[in-house]
Amino acid sequence: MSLDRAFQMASRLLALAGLSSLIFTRELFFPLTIAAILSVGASFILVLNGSTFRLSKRTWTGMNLVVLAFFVVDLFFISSSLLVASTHFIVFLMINKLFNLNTSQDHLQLYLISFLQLLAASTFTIEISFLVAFILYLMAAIWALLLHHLVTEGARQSSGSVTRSSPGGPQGITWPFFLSTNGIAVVTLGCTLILFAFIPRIGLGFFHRSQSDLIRMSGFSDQVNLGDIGDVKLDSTVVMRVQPQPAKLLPLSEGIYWRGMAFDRFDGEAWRNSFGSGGLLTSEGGGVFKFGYRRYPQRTVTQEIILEPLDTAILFGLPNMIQVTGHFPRLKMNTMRSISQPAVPASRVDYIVTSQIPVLTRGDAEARTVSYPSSVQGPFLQLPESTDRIRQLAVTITRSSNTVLKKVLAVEQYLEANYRYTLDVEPPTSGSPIEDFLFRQKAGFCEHYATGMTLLLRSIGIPARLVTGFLPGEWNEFGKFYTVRQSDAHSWVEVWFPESGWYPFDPTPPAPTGSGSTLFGLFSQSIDSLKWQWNRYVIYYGLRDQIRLATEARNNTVDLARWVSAKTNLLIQGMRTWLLHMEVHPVILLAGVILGGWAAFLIFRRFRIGNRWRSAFHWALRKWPVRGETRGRAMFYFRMLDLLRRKGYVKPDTLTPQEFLGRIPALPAAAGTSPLGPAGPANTSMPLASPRAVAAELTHLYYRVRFAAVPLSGAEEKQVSRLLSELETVLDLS
Amino acid sequence: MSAFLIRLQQRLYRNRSVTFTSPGTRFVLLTLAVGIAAINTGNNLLYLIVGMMLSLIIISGILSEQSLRRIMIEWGFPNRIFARQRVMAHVRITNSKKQLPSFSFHVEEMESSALSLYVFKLSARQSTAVSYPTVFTKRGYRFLPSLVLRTTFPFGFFHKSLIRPQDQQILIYPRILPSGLRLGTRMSETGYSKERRQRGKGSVLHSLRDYTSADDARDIHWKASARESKLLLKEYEREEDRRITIYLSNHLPSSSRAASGAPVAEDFERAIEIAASLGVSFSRRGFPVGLQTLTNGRGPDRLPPDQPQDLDKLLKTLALLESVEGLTPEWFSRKTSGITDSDSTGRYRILILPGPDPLWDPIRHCFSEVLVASEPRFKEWQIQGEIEP
Repeated sequence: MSLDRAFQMASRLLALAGLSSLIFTRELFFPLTIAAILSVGASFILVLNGSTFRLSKRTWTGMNLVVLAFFVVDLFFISSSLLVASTHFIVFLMINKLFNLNTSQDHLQLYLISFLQLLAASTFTIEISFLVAFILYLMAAIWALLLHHLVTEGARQSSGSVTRSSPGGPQGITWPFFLSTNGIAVVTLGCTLILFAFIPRIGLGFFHRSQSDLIRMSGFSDQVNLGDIGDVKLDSTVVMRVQPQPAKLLPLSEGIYWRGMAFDRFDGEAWRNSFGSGGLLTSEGGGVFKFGYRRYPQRTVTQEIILEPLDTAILFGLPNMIQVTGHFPRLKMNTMRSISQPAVPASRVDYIVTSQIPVLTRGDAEARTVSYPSSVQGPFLQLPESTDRIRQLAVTITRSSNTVLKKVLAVEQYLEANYRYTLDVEPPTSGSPIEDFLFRQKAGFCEHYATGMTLLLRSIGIPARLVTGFLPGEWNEFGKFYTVRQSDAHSWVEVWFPESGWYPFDPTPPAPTGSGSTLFGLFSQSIDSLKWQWNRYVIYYGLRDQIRLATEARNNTVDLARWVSAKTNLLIQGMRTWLLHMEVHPVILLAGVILGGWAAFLIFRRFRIGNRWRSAFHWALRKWPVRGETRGRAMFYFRMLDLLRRKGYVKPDTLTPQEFLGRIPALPAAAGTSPLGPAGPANTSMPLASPRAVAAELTHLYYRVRFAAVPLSGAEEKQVSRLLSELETVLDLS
Repeated sequence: MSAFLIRLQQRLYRNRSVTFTSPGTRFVLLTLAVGIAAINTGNNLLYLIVGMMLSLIIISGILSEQSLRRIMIEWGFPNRIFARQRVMAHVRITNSKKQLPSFSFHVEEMESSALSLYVFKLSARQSTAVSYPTVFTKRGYRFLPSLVLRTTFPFGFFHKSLIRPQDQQILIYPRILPSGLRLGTRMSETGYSKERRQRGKGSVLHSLRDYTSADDARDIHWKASARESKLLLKEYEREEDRRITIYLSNHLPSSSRAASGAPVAEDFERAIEIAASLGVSFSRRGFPVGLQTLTNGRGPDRLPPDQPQDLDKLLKTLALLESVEGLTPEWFSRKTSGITDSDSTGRYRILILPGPDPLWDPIRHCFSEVLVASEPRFKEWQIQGEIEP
């Protein structure tokens, strides 16, 4: 392909990359998207066919007026957004420019338009599709800019702005050129990522635009009707991704779920939270909110969570959250330790939660009777009306259990063993849906199980509450994180113990899980992992990550230094031991040291002073004999150099003897300005020679001796002696 | 560490300059604007775009440096270069890198627009050459013109220049005057007449005569013998009789006397040009030419009367000749005693004076010709055109 055609193609490819970044955001007016795609395609075809199709200037002017009018209509009536309307206008400009690429300036303007499209896309989306468009844009930009430069320079050259050009002109796109250009693009991408990681993040990032519609959720408002969660159990939309630290604690033990809200009151049909969302908490600095003390430090788990925009303000995490870190101006926590934001966020939220996994103490596990405080008894032993059948059932289930824990476990196991999990629950025939579940249908989903267990426990005087949240979700082996979907929404039971506090129990039998090991499952996991990495390391990369990166780098450096130090010490100790145990005559040792030192000196001198690129082997074989010969036959030249060096005229290795002549002064040092002036020799009236002239004669003789291998005659040797003494005189050395 | 940084800085910036092109300025301003927007919004995608723009700037710097790195320049000139004479300078540009090519750079003379070469691509270990006419104005050792390598490769954002100073010198011979050449021709035809020429050992044919048995058969002129139907022998001109010696006075009276019509530096330069022109002219016609000057304190105490020289040595002497002032009559008479004492019979000696010089008056009779460069007729020579000697 010729260079010029490649250039035309690259410009259009760049326009396509800019446009695709906008298309991926799905913010473009659909008819405009189609028009833009068709325009780019038509433009490509015109270039490939070498067509010179042009619309008249008048037509373009008319179209521009129409576009301007559309911009106004768009701004006030269609999109009603300056950003969106401007983006539409830029796309129109791109279409115009695509068919009017006549000059170098036109191409540069098209590049600017495509860049503006990329900028607009960066404000519209945070999806990983932007990465695809970005990489495409970067590759196209490298090609377009490079070819623009080469073609423009070539055109300037042919227009006669330079007097000559080299015979090898542009030869089109060759394979080496193709590979090199793509290599440059790859290096640029790598450089971009490095710079991205190290550019200081001093912005707070409070101005994120609402990126997408909120995901509708059930079960996380102050009132949850029995059966609400069942509506979302078939929805596989991702609601959050969680990366626990340390990962070695994984997999999480059964019953440890992502806790959201807790409910205390049940009226027979719905659960309510009678404590509200709690009071506002302020950060302790750096976005850190603390909610309690570390009762069991060995059971602390940190989770990094990216929460998709849900229609709830609740923050999820493992039970017993004791600390939350994130970009929150305030947080709320109620008595049941449900943590929420003051308002429903409009975009994704990323935060770090530290939780203490609950532990049941031996005392609680073995307690036969417990006296509960009134703060627990009041709200958490509440029952709806007419629960006699439930109480009778509870008593029957727990008849043989002699401790509180055994009673709880008996109820849990009873429900798990005797009830069937189904999302297809028939409408209740009696007035109470929970009695319908417990005594008639004996089938339901998590809400039914949890509600049933809570009521059974409360009916025999054990304080319990219903909790909603999510199952751990799908473990992603690629990214080492959990992907939690709507279908993982769950409810379970928390039972109060005097020493251990609220401890979770889950009476719901395990539901069948998706096939994670199939090829599709692996592919899906890898894509999801990519999305996680994108969100974690690009979208939500911040100052905290930079500090962590710097700390890790410092720690690694320190570790490396320690490792090197340890290895060096080991080596030195080994050598010392070897020397102490080796029986070597001191003279031989001394000779070895001297020879080694001399060799080291030669190597140092060679590679520090001499031509470091020539191999030492070559130097050893060739340089020495030549130098020896030279010194023998042309010693006078080195004598001359010595004399000149004494006056500060040192010959650099980089200069040839002929070149060095130019550094030697033309005027004699001894005679001052006038050759016959008072500073001149007293016994002669002859004018003094210039040092350069004397050196020129000596250099001439040196060249002959050194390179023509013609030795000096007797008369010439006398001449050399005379010239050297003359040089001494004119340099004022005598 | 600071010494290392200084060395690094010198290595990076030595003989280099970087300026923005117009698109480059706009690009940098755009980068700043997007950077500010990124800080303001905290939008990491904008940070990503800023990273890309900064990378383009960095890559641009690296590639332009790579393109100009290890470009070697070699000069080539004719063997003899005369002042004010148009000569073809040959420049060979070699990419001495082992692997990487160099793209899109200009090679220009730093202080003139005589050379402007555009190289689109120069592969590793390959060369390209260009020849262009140039003129050196003054005689003597002259530095080669410094060259500058310029490029806006790869993206046209920055104008990078790398100056290649030339510390190599070449010798420029004195200017050759066309009238001086013609004068030399005339002198060799008329002044140096047949009467001066005698038979003897030499290389130039003097005459033909009948062959005798005592003669060397190698000297038989076979073509003439065939034409005349008898054996004819070539007789040669005596070599020493063909010698022409130019005596150039490089003595300038002291500056206090210059006002009274004594020769000045311009006259001295003209005298050198006349000497060079005559030397070239005689040499072309096969005459061994010698040059004697009062020189500069070196050489024999007495000027040798007649000693031919190689033309290049003669021209080199003239190229490097410097004037001397304030010579004493005693030193002068001792120096020139070799001329006065020798036999001038059959010798052709030309004395060239920058201007009237009383020192030379006593011995003017020893010379066949005396040329005074300050005379008006010689001044006119210098405004005549150039000639290819």
